[in-house]
Amino acid sequence: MNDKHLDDFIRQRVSNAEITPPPSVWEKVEASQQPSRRPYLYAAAAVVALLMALPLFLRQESPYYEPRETVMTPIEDRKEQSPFADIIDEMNDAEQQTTVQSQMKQYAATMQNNHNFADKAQSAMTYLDSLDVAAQRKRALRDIDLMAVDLIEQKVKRLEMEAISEDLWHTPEQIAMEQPSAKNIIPTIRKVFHPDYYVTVDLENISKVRLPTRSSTEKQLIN
Amino acid sequence: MDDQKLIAKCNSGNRLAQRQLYERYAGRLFAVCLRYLQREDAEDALANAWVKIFRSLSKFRGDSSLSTWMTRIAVNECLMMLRGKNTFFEQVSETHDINNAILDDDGSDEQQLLQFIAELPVGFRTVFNLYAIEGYTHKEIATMLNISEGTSKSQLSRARNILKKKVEQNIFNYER
Repeated sequence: MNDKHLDDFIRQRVSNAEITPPPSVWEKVEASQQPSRRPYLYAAAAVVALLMALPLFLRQESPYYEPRETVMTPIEDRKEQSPFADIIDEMNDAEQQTTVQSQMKQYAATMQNNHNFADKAQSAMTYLDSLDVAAQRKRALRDIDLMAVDLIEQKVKRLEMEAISEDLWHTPEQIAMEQPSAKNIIPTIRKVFHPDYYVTVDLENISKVRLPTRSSTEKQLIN
Repeated sequence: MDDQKLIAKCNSGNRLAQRQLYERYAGRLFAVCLRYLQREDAEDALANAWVKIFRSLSKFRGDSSLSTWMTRIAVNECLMMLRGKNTFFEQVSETHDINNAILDDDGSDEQQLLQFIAELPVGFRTVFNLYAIEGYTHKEIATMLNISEGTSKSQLSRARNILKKKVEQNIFNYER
C-alpha cells in the first residue's frame, strides 16, 4: 500500500463519517443564540447605584447650598427691623418691577430734600394711594417704611439731644404738638430698633412715644 | 427542504430551521472535530463552530457546498482550540497525547479508521487530517500551523507509517 493509496482509502471512508453529538452541544448553541441580557443588567445596576448615591449626595454640605431659613438677604434683614414687617408679610411676594423701583428711587430722592416730616409722609401716602397693584404697594410701603424709620430715628435723636442739653425730657404731649399731623401719615409703626436705643412709636397715638431711659448717674455725667 | 431554503429561514431568525440545519450536519461536523480533538474539546469546538455558522450564514455565497463551508469553519475552530492549548507546537513522539478510545467501535472500517486517527499524536493527527482528508498543501499547512513545510512533511510521513501498519493489520489482515 503506497501513501496515495492509504490516503484515498482513509479519506473515502472518513470524510463523510457522522457521529451524533450529545444534546449538550445544541443547548450551548441555543443559549448563545439568545439575546444577551447583559445590557439590561448593567442598566439596572446603574439605576440602583444612582438611587443609592442620591441620598448621600444630598446629605453632603455643599458650599452652594444653604437651608432656606439661614439665608439672610439685605432686604429681609431690613424687614426684620421694619415697623411694617407685619404688613409686608401679609402681602404676596410679588415680583419686583423695575418701573416701580425707579419711581421709588425718584420719590425717595424727592423726600430726602423735603425737610418737613409731615409733608413727606403725606406725600408718601398720596403716592401709595395712587398705586393699585399689590406688589407695587408692597414695595412702596417698604421703602416708605424705611424712610419713616430713618426720620423717626432722627427725630428721636434730636429730642434726645434736646433733652440732654436742656436736661428736659419731652413729654408725649410735647412730641405730639411738634408733629400733630404725623398720626395721619402712616397707619402703624410699632417698634424701631437701634443699636443704641429702643423706642416704641405709634403714630396713630403719638402720645405713646417714649424716649430711652437714662440712669441718674448718666444724666449727672452729661450735665 | 433543501439547503438554500433552510439557509434563508435560518437567516430570518427561524429557530426551527436552525435546529433542522443543525440536525442535518451536526453528525458530520462532530466527526470532523473528533479527528482533531478529544471528545470534550470536540464538543466545545462543535458548539463554537455552530455559533459562528449561524452568525455568518448570511455571508455564505454558495461558492462551495454548504457542507464544505461548514467543515472549514469546524476545522478552523479545532485549530484555534489546539493553538489555545499550546500543545500543537510541541515536539511529539509516537506515543504522545494519544486520543484514546473516543469512538464507538462498531467494527466498521469507518469507525476503525477514525479510531486509528484519533490515536495518533496531536501533531501527526493534525497534519494528516489537513493534508490527506481536507486536501491542504504542505505550504498551506505550514502557514496555518506556523511550522515549516519540512516539519509538516515529516509529521505526515510518521502519521502515515503508523496508520499503514494499523490498516494492514486490522483491516486488510496482512500478516507481517
